[in-house]
Amino acid sequence: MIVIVGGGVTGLSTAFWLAREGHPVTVVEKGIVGWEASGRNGGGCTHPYSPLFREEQRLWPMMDELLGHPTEWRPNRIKVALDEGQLDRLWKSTKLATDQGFAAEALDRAALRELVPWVGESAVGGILWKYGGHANPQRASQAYAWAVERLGGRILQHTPVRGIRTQGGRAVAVQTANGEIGCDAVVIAAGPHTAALAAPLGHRVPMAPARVEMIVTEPLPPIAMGGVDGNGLYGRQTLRGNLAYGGGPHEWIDLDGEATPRPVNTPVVAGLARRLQELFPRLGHVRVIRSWGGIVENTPDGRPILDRLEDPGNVVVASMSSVGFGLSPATGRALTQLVLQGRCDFADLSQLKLSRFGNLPVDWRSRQGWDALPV
Amino acid sequence: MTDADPTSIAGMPFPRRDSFAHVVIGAGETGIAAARAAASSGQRTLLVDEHPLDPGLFGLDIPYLFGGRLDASTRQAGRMEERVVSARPDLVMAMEEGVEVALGVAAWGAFVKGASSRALPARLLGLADRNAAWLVAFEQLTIAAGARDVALPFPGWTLPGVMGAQGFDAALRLYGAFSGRRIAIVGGGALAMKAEAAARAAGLDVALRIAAPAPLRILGREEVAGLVWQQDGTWHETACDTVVLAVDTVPMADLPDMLGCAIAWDPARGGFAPLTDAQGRSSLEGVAIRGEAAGTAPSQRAAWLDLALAADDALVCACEEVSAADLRALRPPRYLDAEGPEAGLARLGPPNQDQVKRLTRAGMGPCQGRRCRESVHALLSREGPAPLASYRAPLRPLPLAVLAALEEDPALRANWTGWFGIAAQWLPHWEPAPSDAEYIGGRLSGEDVVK
Repeated sequence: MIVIVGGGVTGLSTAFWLAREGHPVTVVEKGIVGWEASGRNGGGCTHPYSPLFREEQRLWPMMDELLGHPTEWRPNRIKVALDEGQLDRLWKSTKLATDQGFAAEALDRAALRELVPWVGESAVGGILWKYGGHANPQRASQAYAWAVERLGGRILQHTPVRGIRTQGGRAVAVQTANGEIGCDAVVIAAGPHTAALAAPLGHRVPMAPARVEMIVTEPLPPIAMGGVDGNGLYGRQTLRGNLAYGGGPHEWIDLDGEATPRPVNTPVVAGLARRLQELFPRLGHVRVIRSWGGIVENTPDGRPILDRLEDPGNVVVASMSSVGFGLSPATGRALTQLVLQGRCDFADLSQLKLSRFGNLPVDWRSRQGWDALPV
Repeated sequence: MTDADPTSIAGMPFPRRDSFAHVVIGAGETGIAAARAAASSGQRTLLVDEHPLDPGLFGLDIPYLFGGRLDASTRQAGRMEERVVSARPDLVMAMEEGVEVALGVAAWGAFVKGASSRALPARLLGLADRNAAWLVAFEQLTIAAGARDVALPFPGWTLPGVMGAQGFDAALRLYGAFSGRRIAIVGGGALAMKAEAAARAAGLDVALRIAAPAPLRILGREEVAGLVWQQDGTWHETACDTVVLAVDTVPMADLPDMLGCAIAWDPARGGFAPLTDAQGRSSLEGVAIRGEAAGTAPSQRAAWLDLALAADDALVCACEEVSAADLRALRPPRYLDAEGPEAGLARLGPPNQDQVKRLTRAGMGPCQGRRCRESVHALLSREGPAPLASYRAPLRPLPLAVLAALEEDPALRANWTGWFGIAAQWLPHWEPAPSDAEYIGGRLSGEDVVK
């Protein structure tokens, strides 16, 4: 039995690939699957700086069929620049993908207007990424969960994990609020709670939780490619037509116990609206109908930790450092390989080991200015 | 410790237009009395009321079920403001006693410190009129926003001419803009009787009032033309141009929920109602909830909703076109043309309305779920009450241009990033993280981060 601690998108994808290969899996989730940041995010599937990028791009077009439920994945992204500096930074991030053989195309204002009728004279140009895409986070997270169950895996919701029992250098059971689950291997993929779950095993997994927020508008008639963003925003037009966009200041927080705090919104929602209107000046009349908050975690360098521990040797630790949804199809496959064979044969994960933080000072959060303010 | 992360919210000042010792939301009788009491005790007091509404909200049934039965006079803001003032004579007294009164101003958000919001410099309230949003700071808050309508999803309920009791009352007595002539009233309690009395006092033709829960159908093609109901095993029909659903109202718990006030399910108080003590104090210090916002009278809502929801084709969420059958099957939205999981709702475990919303889109439309919240909740609560679906800012649907007009601190703009400010996050993860990387993850400004 392989026990996955955490029913977020990373854990669910891992469970899916394991179950698909016939391994018995149990996902243990303290609340509802995909409930936290996995189910509420920008839905982007475009991460060229990740060693898992190529696999991310290969897998998304197949996920609806593999999972048996629609994920709302759609290909391509359009980046809009409102000044030359924005355009310059967009080309720098574009180069990460074009260096790997993916194609991108410059869009002058007219071409941009053709694809994105909402932009105005303020747009200096854009870039069409003929790679990447976007999907519906809640629907995709839930689709993984239903696929796991269909493949014979077990998902325990509303079941907090209290500890991992070890014996002779191996994890032998996961202790939950409803009893123990014996295990042959464990994957800890519990987002910001990963650190607290790994600590009793003698491992410091450095991460700082933070709250982030997004806004959603009423639906608009869908444009040809909904994956449009820029001006300091990430986001998309959903298939239904709503605009869902985030960005701007985050808030570093501390966790208090096993619960994830309620992710509230702040007046930053108005800042998001301002930037969205700057990006799409023709949409000033469109109503904002919702906002979201989410709690994510970041490692000191903002990069994932995907690592199988040496002791206990059958425990894999996974944090995507605040960027987990889009990469999830590939991450789950990579983690499956770490569980089963100790190494990933399709991506270079050598820089994502926990050991890179071996010399990290104890007060690293303070040194980086990432301390939570007192409540 | 080094300086706080400049791309974080720590230290952001959030410019506010004003500060008040006491803000009262809702200028009905309860709110006016609370504001006058606060002002007379020497508190600098602001009283806000969203009426007269941005006319765009009438069509969205916000905050009441208006059902398209308000005439064109509601487009004239000045005239409507006069009517609101003349409908509430105590407002003038409140002003004379020093209460600052802001009409046509909606409270769309309240922001207080909590486990995930530690950086706020003060308790802030987000307000907006038709043109702009702004913030005010407050020390004490009294919420007297009243109650909103409960829609019953009987066939035809989305036709123009189907209103709630609150929408009817506002159209008739607040706006003086009711455009119907012959009405049928649904409901057996005090709410329905009050609607009937008001209608008769206004000289309207009351076709009938249906007091006991009964199957209904609302007739009409473009708008309400009549009502059919079942009684003693036979169907009866009457002609009317308006149907007033006056079975029940529900406390307007949006602001209390956003603030984090304790709210509990209590059918005897209108469903989800904030917990308050005898003085109206909520669980949150300095926040009082008074009048119908803290609880309404018992009603026969459950029996009526059961009747309406029994039909598979009951259109529960009008914005997103989700039927009772869609909800039971947990069917994805129509644009996906896909089936839900085998076993439907039963696949989820304990039902959660926010989760079901994201999967079916019921409650996700521009009316912000006001028309279907109670129906969806009833449908999910067969084994006991499902938890309260959360309320999120903006609590009224605000145009981008209105929210965008909120004054912004220059440091917020200078330090704005698309996603955190961690340069190494955006560079190849197969190479070691460089120590002096350029941040390309969506900085707005090419300048160095400043604060």
